[in-house]
Amino acid sequence: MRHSTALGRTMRLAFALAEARFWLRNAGSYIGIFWYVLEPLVFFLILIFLQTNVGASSIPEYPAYLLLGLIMVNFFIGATTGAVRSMRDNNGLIQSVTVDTEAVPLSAVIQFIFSHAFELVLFIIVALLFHDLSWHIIWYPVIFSVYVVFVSGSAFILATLGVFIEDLFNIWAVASRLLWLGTPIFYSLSPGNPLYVLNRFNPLYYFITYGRDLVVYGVVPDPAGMVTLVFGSIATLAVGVILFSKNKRKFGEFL
Amino acid sequence: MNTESNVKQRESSEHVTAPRIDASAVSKRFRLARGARVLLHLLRPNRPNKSNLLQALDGVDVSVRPGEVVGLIGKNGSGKSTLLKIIGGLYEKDRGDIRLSGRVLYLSGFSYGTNPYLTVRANMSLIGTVFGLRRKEIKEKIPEIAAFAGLEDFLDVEAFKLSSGMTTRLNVSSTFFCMEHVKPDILLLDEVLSTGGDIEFQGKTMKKVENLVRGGASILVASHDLQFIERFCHRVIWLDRGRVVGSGPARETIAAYIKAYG
Repeated sequence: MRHSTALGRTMRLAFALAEARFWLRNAGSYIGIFWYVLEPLVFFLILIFLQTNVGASSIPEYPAYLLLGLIMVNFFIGATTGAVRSMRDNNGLIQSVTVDTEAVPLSAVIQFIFSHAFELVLFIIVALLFHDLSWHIIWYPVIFSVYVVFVSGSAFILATLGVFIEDLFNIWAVASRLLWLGTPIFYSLSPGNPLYVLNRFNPLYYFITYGRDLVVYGVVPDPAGMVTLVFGSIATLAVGVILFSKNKRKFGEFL
Repeated sequence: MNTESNVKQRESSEHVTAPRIDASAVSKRFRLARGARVLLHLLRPNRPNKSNLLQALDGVDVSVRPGEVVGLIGKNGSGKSTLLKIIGGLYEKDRGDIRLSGRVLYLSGFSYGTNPYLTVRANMSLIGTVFGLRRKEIKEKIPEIAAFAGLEDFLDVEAFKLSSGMTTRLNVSSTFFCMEHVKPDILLLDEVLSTGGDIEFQGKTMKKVENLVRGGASILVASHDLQFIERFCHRVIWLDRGRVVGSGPARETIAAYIKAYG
């Protein structure tokens, strides 16, 4: 009972912090929250332009393939980048009042769940326009839920490390750019490609591949692969929560 | 307004019950070096570098019983905040034993939760969530908080449009109302007694402080406001360079402190 109350408090604070940041991110701008849609849309149009004018891709249902990959990787990069700095950004709060600090990295994830919802609406519109939308999209929340578990675990790990390693924010900015380019968002990989071998160790590759299989191509992902992804995500969350909990009393000194 | 004797009139039986805060021999050292120097130290772990260490607390004992208000006094850097943060779980102790019973609330200052670009209403809501209130509870409290702060007509105005005095009223009022609602068993207050605002508001907040003090929580309060400490605290602990150098009834301990530095 006591644990559920503490969890409820943590989740309420995480939602409140995420909600505030979500609205504040584009506060004062003319189109406000529509930047959440405009940003991936512009990227999508640029990549579509490059694909049609520079190198013709043979990927079937390419617009839906591209946009889903784009928004799924955006979610990971946005949430983890937010998490790396989250403890420092909320230093005033953490040092001034007793709070459930777990709420802070979680709020970074929740903020990007909000923006992902907007991006998903954009995806549905684009997929409809290009006749790429499958009814299998109803299964997307299943894949996305597992993805959220994985991203939350990564957020806890990065938020903890971000307290002790001030350079991590810059390191992560470079690493996430490499991840963006290395993950097959706008291209596909065949088994002979060296990047394909590297991507076998890239969790994002599996999430976007299974997401595309399910939503764009209507193919049920390999059960063994799906089970590995679920347990891998739970393990990542467990590692993240344990690492964070073991170190949270040290945060005050380093922030 | 309640007098000092009113505030201090507690049932003596309360004071013989087991302490809610029982800290013994608490010690803490801070490593001052950061970044590259820390990296250097990690690469050469066997090389002692005592100049990098600051002894913030050295074997401090504190106990606070239910309903008791204990003041912490001492110069800047004497270890008051460190002690409160260790008891509040914000810092890790190096040595010692701390036993707490009940819900703990640590508070330092009032400007932790407000965002200038959020409206007054949204800021009140955010502060309420920080204290663990549910959305419905916050919604019910907002008119009361706004009336106390004199901000009823500014609820939907962004905080950056408020004067500094109004911002203070927003922060202080929201905090006090939320603290009252949460009813912590252990309250750790770090320099939060100078609430600011105009004379009328200071009078109102002082009443809130008195209610809080008389509410039965075990309170450990660090402050340089010796008048307040003398008025509200049953006992005072005087810290200097991380050690307890004096402890006892408020008046005597404060007199000794003033004599030493005054």
